[in-house]
Amino acid sequence: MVIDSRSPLPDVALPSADEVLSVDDLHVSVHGGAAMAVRGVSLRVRAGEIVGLVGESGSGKTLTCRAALGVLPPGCAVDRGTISLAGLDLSALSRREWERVHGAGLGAVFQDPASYLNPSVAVGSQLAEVLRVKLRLRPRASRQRAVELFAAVGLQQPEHVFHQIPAELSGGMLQRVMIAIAISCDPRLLIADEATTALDVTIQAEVIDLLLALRADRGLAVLFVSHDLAVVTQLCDRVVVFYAGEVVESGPTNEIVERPRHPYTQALLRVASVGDFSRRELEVIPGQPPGVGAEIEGCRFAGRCPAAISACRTGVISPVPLGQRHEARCLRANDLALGGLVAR
Amino acid sequence: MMRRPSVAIAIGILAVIALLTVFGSQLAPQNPLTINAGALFQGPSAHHLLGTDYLGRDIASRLMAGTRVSVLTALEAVGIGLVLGALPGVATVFLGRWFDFAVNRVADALMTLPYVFFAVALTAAIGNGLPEAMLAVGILLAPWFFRITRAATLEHAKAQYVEAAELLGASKVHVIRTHVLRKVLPNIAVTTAQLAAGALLAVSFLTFLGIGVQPPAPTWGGILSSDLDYLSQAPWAPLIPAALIALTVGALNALADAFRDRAGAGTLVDVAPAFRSHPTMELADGDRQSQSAA
Amino acid sequence: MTASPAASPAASPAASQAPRLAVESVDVILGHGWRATKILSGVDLTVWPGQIVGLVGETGSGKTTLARAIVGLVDPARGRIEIDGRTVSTLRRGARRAERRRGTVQLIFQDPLRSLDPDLTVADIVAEGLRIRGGIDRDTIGELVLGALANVGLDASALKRTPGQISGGQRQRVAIARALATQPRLLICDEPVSALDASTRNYVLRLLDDLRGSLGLSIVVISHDLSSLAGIADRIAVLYRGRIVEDGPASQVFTAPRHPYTALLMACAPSVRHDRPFAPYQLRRSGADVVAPVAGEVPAAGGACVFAPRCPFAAAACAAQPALETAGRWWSVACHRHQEWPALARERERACPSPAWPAASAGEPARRR
Repeated sequence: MVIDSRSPLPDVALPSADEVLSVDDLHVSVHGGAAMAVRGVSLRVRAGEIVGLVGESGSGKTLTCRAALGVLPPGCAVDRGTISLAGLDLSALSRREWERVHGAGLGAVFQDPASYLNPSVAVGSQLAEVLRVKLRLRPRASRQRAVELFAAVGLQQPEHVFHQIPAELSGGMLQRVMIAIAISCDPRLLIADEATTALDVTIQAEVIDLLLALRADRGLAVLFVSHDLAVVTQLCDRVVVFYAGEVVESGPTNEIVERPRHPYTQALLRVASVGDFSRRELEVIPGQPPGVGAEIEGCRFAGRCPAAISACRTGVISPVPLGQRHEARCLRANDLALGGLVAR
Repeated sequence: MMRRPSVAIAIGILAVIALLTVFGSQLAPQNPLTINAGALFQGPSAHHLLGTDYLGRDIASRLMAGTRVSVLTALEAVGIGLVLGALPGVATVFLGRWFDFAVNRVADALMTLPYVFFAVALTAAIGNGLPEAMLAVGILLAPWFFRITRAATLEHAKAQYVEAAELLGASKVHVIRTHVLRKVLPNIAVTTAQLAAGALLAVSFLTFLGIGVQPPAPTWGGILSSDLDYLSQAPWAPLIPAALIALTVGALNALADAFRDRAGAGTLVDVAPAFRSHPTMELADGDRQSQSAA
Repeated sequence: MTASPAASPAASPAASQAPRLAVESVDVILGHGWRATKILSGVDLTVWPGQIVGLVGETGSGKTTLARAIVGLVDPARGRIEIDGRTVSTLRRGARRAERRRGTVQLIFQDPLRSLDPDLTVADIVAEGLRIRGGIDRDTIGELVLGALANVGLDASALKRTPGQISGGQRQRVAIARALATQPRLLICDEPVSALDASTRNYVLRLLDDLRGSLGLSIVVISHDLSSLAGIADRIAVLYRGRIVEDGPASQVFTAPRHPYTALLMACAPSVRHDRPFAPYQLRRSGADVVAPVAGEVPAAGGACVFAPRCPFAAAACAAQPALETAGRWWSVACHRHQEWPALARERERACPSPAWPAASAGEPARRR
């Protein structure tokens, strides 16, 4: 689908109304092509769905997000695979076309909101600026809309907050401002990359509530990336588990939590501090993940997997379909009866 | 560091200059002082590689012999500046606010003095010689060393591992010796190379003005000055000493740049809040770098 | 490896023992003149030998300031800090340095990338405290260094590496080894595992627990993550805006917190389980987050309970800051209404809040699953 360059900026003609983001067989190389950091990642986000990407550092989840946003760091490139935003192929877009997609098609919030805002300009003015540029609103209209957006993201006294500079606001409020900026042009998908990691737990809970409210109000789909499995299971409808550049399991949250089908998912559930306050044995996953881009024959988790058999170390391990939008990249997915967390 | 051609060339030039500093008089093809009235203002020839000057002396030999005086006195000035400037620069960070204030004001005052006049005044007071003149230059270079070393030390003194050392009961001397000194050495090296270039220019200017010079001893600036007196007879003559000065100064600056680039690669990166991380690709095991690339 | 809390002697110490650490009514004020802010007010904290105390606080609670005050990097404006009965908060420079050379108290910083000198080898880093102490010959230092490294699970192969050449988990272990080399009796750990991933985090926490057992250390672990503290802490102290609001045995604080802020922290901690006594909306004032002052500032509501602006159960009595009163064995809480609020919370329904929020709880995750 072609972006009509004569149409005003906010209108990105997106053909499909159902699937907001599809990533197919994505391969991303780093270090100028020397190492493959993301291997064959596929995922889908439907309209109004909240999908969580979870995994350790170096697992490829952030690179996948950045590829979807078109902001890969220097030295990284998409080698193979496609990314489509509601049917629009993102891999061949020019800079102009990306400018249309950012904001109206995709919105993004990252970890440290203060570093994405001009420290000497009032936050309301910064949001109003986005509205003026992207939506071509008049100054007064853009200010009004900015105040409305601040109210929509739950900031109390939005007219007062409009005039404050970032240093005068707490981390939670700044993150709400960033969310307001990200949804200001009514995108289909919001990508949140470790958006709540640096926030206090009480504020994190409120931001999670906010994301759920935005989904309910506007049908906003969210791609939520975090290393914190507990937050992902709290917020997301579906979970995609990354390990060493691959997706090892993806499926509905309650299935993944109660009955994981990949040993790594089970290990993650065991070590994650999923809100268990009883005095318990703190578990560890023995061994270390492979280095970024390491070439490994067979399953990339086999070296640390308690259930690995000899077949796991040869050939290519493909995802095994396991029912309704649930799959696991494990030869023994159907044999192993892995225990999960009891959710209720 | 040797990878860039400019640096390799710079080091080559400086090596030649160093050679001439030590062995210049011996290597000179002719006696730099021999006057030959019959061969004035000659152009380059097999006998006189760069020609002769207004007294028939061989220019090449004069330049080579003059290297020692010029370079050594420039080094003297830099050395004095280094000792007088860098040591207080490091110490002042640890010696308390009043000491810091006092030394800073002294440095400010020194920085306002123009070096030529200061050199003239000092030579008038303690004797007209080039070493005395360069002592003046050295004193005036000290504030620059002081400022730069102090800034670098302040930066490193704020580091958390310095705080950790203090918690172990470290004295200030221990902190400087173990943690700070080796980290400010790159800054000192850069500054030394840059100010050596400046000192060389100062020597050339002072000898150009005739301060501290005992004729007929050759110096680069002195040769330049006398060449300018006879510009009509030999218009190309001043270019030679000027080129030599420019080449040496340029080489020193290139070396300083190379030091700085190399030092920049290994300096402290301020990783401020806990969750922000280096934009590195290589992630070690067990690390959670939330803003990482992967 | 983990003893049950009831059996652990550290949870309820013998009366005859002297506390390892005693923080008494400490105030800390940072900044000068009109910028001066009171970061800590009347903080009391006692740590007994062999005990692990988890200090919980969010941004602006003053937890890092408290850690720094204990080790002497900031001076209290009021109050006293004693270690093994010796007052350390009033020491002057030379005496303070001598006390530090003793190595009784050590601080573990949050980010080992910053707290370790990148140019020194692991051997030099771990030996630094011993070298500063002086009077120990090289061979003995070598042995002590190897011993400290062994305690954290590293061997001689790490000696010649620099911090940049080892992983984050190993770096933090080196930082712990550096602290252990001087044979301390008290370790203060400021967010020791926040910069590590989940598995390494658990490894280091387990390590601290083992060290408590094998070396008889007392440990204060400062963290914002309650559930990782649940794994190792005997006692929990909750810090809010410079005051301790609750201080009690970990198992009991987690099962039935007496202060509404503690309950709020637990309710907000993300979880897959739904066995929490309260949901966040029952413990918050309705509406979005309070227009909170920037971290570090104490609200100007002079004299009132620090939590009152956020507390849905604040009453007239809460205009006076409650003192820490005993609410159980080794348990104290600073709340006027600590006996009444649980019943009130249970009755709170999700009211229709400000227009920012949808009326239907369509997004409530706990209910959907």
